[in-house]
Amino acid sequence: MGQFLSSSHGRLACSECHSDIEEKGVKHPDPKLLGRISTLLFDYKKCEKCHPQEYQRYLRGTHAKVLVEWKKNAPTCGNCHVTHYVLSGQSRVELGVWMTEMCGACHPVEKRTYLENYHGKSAALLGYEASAYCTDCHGAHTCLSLKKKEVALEACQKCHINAKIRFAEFVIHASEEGVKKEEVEKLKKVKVIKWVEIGFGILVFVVLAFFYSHTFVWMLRKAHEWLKKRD
Amino acid sequence: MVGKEIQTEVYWRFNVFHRFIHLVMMVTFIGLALTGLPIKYPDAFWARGLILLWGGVKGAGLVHRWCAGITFGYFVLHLLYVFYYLLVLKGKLLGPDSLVPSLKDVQDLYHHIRYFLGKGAPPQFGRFTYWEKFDYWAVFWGIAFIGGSGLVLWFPEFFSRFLPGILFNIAYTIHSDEALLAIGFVFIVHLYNAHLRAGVFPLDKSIFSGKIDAKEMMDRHPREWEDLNQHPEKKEMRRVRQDLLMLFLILAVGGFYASPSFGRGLTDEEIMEAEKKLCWKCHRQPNLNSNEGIVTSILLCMDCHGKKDVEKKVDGKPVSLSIDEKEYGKTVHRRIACIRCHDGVATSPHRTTLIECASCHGYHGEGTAHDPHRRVNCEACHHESKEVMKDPKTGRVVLKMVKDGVPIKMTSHRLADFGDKKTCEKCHFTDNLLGAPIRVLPAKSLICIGCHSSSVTLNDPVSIVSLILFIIGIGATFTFWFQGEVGDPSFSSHEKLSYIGEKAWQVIFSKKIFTLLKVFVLDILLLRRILKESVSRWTIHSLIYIPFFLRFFIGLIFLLLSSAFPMSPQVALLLDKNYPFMTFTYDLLGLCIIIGIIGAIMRRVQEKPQRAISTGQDYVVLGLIGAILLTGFLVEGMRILLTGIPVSDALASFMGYPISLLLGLFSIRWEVVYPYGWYIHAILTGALVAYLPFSKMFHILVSPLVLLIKAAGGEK
Repeated sequence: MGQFLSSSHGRLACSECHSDIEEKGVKHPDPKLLGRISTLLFDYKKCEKCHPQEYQRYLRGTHAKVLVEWKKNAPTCGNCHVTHYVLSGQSRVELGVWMTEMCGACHPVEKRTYLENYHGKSAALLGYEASAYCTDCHGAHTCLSLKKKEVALEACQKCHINAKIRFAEFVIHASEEGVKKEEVEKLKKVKVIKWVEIGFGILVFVVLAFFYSHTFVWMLRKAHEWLKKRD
Repeated sequence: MVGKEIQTEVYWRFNVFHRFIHLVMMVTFIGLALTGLPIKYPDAFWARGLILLWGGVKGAGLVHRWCAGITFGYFVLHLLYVFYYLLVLKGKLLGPDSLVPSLKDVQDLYHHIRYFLGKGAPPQFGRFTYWEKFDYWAVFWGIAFIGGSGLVLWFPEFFSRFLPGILFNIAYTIHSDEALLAIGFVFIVHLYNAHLRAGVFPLDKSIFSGKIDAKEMMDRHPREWEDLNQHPEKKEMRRVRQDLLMLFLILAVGGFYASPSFGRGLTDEEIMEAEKKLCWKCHRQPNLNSNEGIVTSILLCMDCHGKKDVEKKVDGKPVSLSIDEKEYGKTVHRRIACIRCHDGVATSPHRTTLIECASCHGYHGEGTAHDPHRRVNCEACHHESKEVMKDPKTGRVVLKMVKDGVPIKMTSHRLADFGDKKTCEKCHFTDNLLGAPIRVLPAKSLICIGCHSSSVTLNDPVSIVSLILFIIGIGATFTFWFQGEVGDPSFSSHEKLSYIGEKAWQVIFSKKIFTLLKVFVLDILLLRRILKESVSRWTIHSLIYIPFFLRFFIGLIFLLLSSAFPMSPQVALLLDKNYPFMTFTYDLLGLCIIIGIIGAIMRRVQEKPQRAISTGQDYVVLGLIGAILLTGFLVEGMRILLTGIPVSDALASFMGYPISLLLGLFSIRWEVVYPYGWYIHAILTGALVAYLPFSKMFHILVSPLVLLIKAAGGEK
């Protein structure tokens, strides 16, 4: 309870969000759901009252599209924002690190590839505010897919002002995992990247292995000569 | 057996240029590694600590890019040297002294490995062993792969214009992998092979001192020793004829480490802080339905109203607007945001609240706008409205709060297009009331730095022509010097240059640098020798030269300060042409020069017979300097008159202000004359700069040089 009171929503009365409980014909507690936890107890449309802009953005975004048009399960407000314990006054880095975990819970491949990318390394792991977190590209609440170059370019241009269309061909989430078969172009690119990685990995290994063993046997021989001389 | 005497003989191994490149490479490579590694392994336990050392990712990136730039620089320098070596010095590409791999290197490697395995004696190495050759060529490899991919990642926008985006993925992989290879190679293989191996441990000094003694050569490069003994003329050339110099390696490394690319971390933090405070002060809408929002909102108001001295005038009487925060906290309203009731604050009484542009934006350098613009408010130029006026109270040029008769709203952020030079014409036109000259004058360029805090620009014809002439003069003199022959006429220019480089290196990294510092202060700054000769000559000399030197020094310091702390209001104050302390100093120094010039002319008139030879030239130079000073003061007077600076400030320019009063007596349109006066001043300066290397005045540069060289040579 204390944690709730100290959160951003701490001053709201329970009924301000959970008003459906007071509606006619609704039993509370609902005997069917007794002893179960269900996020669906809460209607995400309630958030609009205080956060109209965020709500509108959410409706325009991919998550809402999946939910409304495709009638599939998709995260609503509460899934990402732990409504009862939303902390206020967090810095950009704190939010960003938390966001990486939160988005990564459902998008683990994207989280991994993001953290392998320069953006993720500097932003999430080294706490550099000027680098990009998830929503800086995908949009807060809209959560756009950036698979189309033209859409992605707009995201790139937020920071890289002079970026042109080819700039958006850069693959941030470079992994074969989770790429659909229809995305022929991305699959091709990811394969090229993989082979370059393997090729250069081998080069590094071979050169270092050769010279390390060269150095090592040299040391051995010298040590041997020195020991012999001492006798 | 080789005798002891031969064993102590010393030979050249690396010339001063090679050593210089190696030193620069060493420092930049370490810099690149220490800034790159934490980004390659950000989740390692040391990554965050290391990145903090550089002041965050941004600072590390800055140092990384500086080091990278220097890396490209030394690489190009080296290539130029190779061309020079091949084309001018007619050096050989192949042979025993070459770094080009040969069949012998493969054989050496084979025999060396056999030796490691205990199957025979080690091979006889030449001047450069196979691993040394590999080290050398590895730099080419590194520059191509790491440097090339690094460039792509440095300027992605540019490269994406003609290369596909997937290249960034590839460049990233290559940069990261090859850098790991380079670090893994240099810090283990190179360090062991070159310095730590038995017989060399702990350090092969030759790459820093350039020298190798006979014993070391016989030991490490026996084939080379053989080769030298077969060619005595070559041996003689390689022999070092002087004592070994003291090597201040630690000094060198320390010096590079303390280079100005460090310690730039703080400004960004400051900017962030300022931004937070300033933008959020007004642009944040706190959520008044939450506790936090109410508190934030109240705190915002209390920021000003919590102070004791806030007041406004009602019918001429001051009314306090101060609120005691503690008392307010006891009222029933303490949980209600001020703006719940005072909902008109954003429009009515706070309309005149000014946002300081300077808290986010730096001040302009002289290269963008002349110093008198420090009396012009940002918005006067930057707002698209053309109507400006001089604030009668402060004397500053401000934006009239009307545009075409319509009042400008406080929220108007329309900015002028500075790509269009006509923007400046909103002040700089005939009959303007602001005192702006009718022409937009070029920025004070590099040639002005002798006396003014100018910019590092070179855009106007006067500066360009005079500087070109100056450089031609200097170049001609130096070429002339290098044509001189000392004793043995067989020295080529290359040998002379290398000898000078070698000498400079030996002096800089030895105790002699302290002797040089002493000579610099006593003989060059304080003119000890002239004082010894004649007091009057010293006085006149000092009156002219010390003020010039001080003004140059001040200009240089201000240039550095303004580029290091562009946000600092203190620096901006120093650069203000009307800042009493500085304007007084400048006027005083200028007056000293004029007195010195008069003194010099009088001395020459009195002692005419003795000085007949150089008199003509002297009068030209003295006349030029005098004219520069006079026009300078006249232009200053015109500026003070035109811009109408408050008397209290203007009084400090004790030369310029009386002149401005004098000029005011004539009913001439000075704003038309001003640009001509300014240009005459500039052209005279240009003429002096261009004439300098051709006249006796060249001693300004030569005398200190001669004194230093003499001191370095050990003469007392």
